[in-house]
Amino acid sequence: MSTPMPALEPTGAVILVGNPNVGKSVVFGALTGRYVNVSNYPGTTVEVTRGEARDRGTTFEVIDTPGVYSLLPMSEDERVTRDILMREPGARVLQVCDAKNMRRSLMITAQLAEMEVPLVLAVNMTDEARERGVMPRLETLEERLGVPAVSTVAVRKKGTERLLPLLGNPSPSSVRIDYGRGIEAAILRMKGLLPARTPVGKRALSIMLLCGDDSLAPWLAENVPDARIREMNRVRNRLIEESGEEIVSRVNRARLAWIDRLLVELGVEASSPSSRKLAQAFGRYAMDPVYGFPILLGILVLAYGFVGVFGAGVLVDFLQKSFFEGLVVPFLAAMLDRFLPSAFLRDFLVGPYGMVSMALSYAVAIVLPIVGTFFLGFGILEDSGYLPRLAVMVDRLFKKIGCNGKAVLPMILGLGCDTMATLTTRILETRKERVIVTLLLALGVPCSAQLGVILGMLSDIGPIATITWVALMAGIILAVGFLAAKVIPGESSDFILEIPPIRWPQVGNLAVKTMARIEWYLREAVPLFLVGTLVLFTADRLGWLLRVQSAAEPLIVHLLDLPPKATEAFLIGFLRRDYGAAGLYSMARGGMLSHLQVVVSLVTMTLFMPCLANLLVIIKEHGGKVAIAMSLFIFPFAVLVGAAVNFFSRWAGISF
Amino acid sequence: MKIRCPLCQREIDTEDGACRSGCPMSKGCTLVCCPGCGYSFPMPESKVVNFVKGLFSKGNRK
Repeated sequence: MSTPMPALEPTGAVILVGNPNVGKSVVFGALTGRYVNVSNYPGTTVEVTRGEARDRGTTFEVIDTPGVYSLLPMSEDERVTRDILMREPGARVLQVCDAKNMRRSLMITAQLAEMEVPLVLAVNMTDEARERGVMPRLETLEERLGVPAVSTVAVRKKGTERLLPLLGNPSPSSVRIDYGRGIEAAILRMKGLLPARTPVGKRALSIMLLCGDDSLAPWLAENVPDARIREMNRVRNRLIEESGEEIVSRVNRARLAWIDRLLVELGVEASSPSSRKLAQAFGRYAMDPVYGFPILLGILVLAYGFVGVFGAGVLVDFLQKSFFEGLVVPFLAAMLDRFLPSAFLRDFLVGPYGMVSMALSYAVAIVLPIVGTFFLGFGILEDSGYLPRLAVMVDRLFKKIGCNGKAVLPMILGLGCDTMATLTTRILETRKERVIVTLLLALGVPCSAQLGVILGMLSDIGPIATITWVALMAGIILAVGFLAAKVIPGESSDFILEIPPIRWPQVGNLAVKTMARIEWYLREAVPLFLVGTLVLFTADRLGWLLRVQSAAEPLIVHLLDLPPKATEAFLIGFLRRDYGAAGLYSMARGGMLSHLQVVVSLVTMTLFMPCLANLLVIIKEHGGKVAIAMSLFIFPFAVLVGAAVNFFSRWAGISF
Repeated sequence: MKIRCPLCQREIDTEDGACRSGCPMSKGCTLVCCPGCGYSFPMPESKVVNFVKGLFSKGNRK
């Protein structure tokens, strides 16, 4: 890093700092009026807006900085904001906070306090915070921070007139967070190595350097002798060796603990020590790369029991056997025989490939109870705050094997819907990364509907089959990801994800959420189920189905060792993986598949492309050539892996 | 309607469903896609639940 620091701002400037979307620009507009100057920050593409504000004969220059989550820079925006703070010795800072989300705002306040910059807080959107009952007690906030905190509703210009008078002569915050003995001792050593005059507080600079902030390198090179820089590195390395973990994680934990205590005092969070502590501990361990895995395993076991045993066992039994096979189909057949005696119509509706006996029966009696229970379980995970923790935990694991950290996000999202997750790959930096993650999604990440059906099928066989399937999918994703990371040049990148507190989900929210998901699922899946069944029905009537089955025999019967009828499931699996899986499920329940055949067919089906919509999105995002190349890789690869599982299991005598 | 993304906690205006048009099956789709992290989830509004709620509220009015 050798970007020169830009020239000093004129003295007396007011710097606006805050998270994204807190109303900073509206406050800026309220302070400065219309006359502003927008320019790129030197050496960057980041825009910085400047304007002038007047208060009782005094003129302030006001600088609106890019929204940040932290002043320990992880993005160009954050580096620009931090650099402006460092390049402006006499400036005062106006931090714009979101009254509805004080946890996120206080993370920056803590860092501004350590920088020892004169500070005023504009606690914005207080009207919405009051409506939601999360309005912080501002007197307590002022008392604890030692700086003024003004309630504002910037869009209505409420409270903004009180800001300029307070910015005349503010003082720095008195907050000092205790980071524990080891870090505090290292901070003391660092402070001793810094020059006598520093642009911001020595404590803040020491913590940034201990956290490994590379963007400070140009400032260090200009202001600190080489020998001292080497000593600073030694202090940092010793601290990492002693603690055995990244210092930035420990620093952020201490800051969050301070914020959580403060939020209780502000009346934003309810104080119930024992349950809260337990939830906090669970939340911490859920993100840990070591303890996180047993927690994930426990959650998978619970999901397996709820979705696999209850949804796929009890509910499917009732709906398929008692309701559809026992009531709906015989009733409809009897009605047709009586009022519309047509063999074609009977076959079309309630025959082996009938719209009711197959399409609706699969959609409503097999897939619906399974995805319904899965959606409920997934909703609990979302509302409890576990999902972002899973993303953080997997991110750490992926980075360890050299994958790009950001690539984890679309993969986690793929568990909901692969098609949407494919659109999310736009967040990745290079086309190569986007193509590889799209491929991993299409290849090995089952969407919620398919995962539900798979869990249901595996629950009938037993845990060994489930573990084999999970290990195979994880292994394939990690192996392809690892190879991809080796091929892709460049460093890994980070993503910022706010970690909400662990909470008990609310029953009402869960009910609405699950119903909304079921409605969405039925609307999207049932038409495709009907189309798929129509294809099979037509192929059967024209005698093509037998020909396709015999053409696919070398693959399905000889290579995968499955019954010829399984060809139908793979055919409709081209439309939607879960529909194909439902076909296999129906065969397994009819006693047409052995345990080994279930595992082989599921492994093959999971590695298929998720659905028609996913293929269309791949074409849209990456073009027809890439989509064809992916399909040409995915389908043979799926069959080859299935065949490998089949041959290896037979050779090793594993029958599950 | 303003809702919160279950993954990144960003507040989203459901009127702003811009990225939904990216999906070829977006017509009539009720999924919301968070502009912050890209997480997609169904609009937290269910016609069935609303219908049931409507029945109860009608009952109350009577």
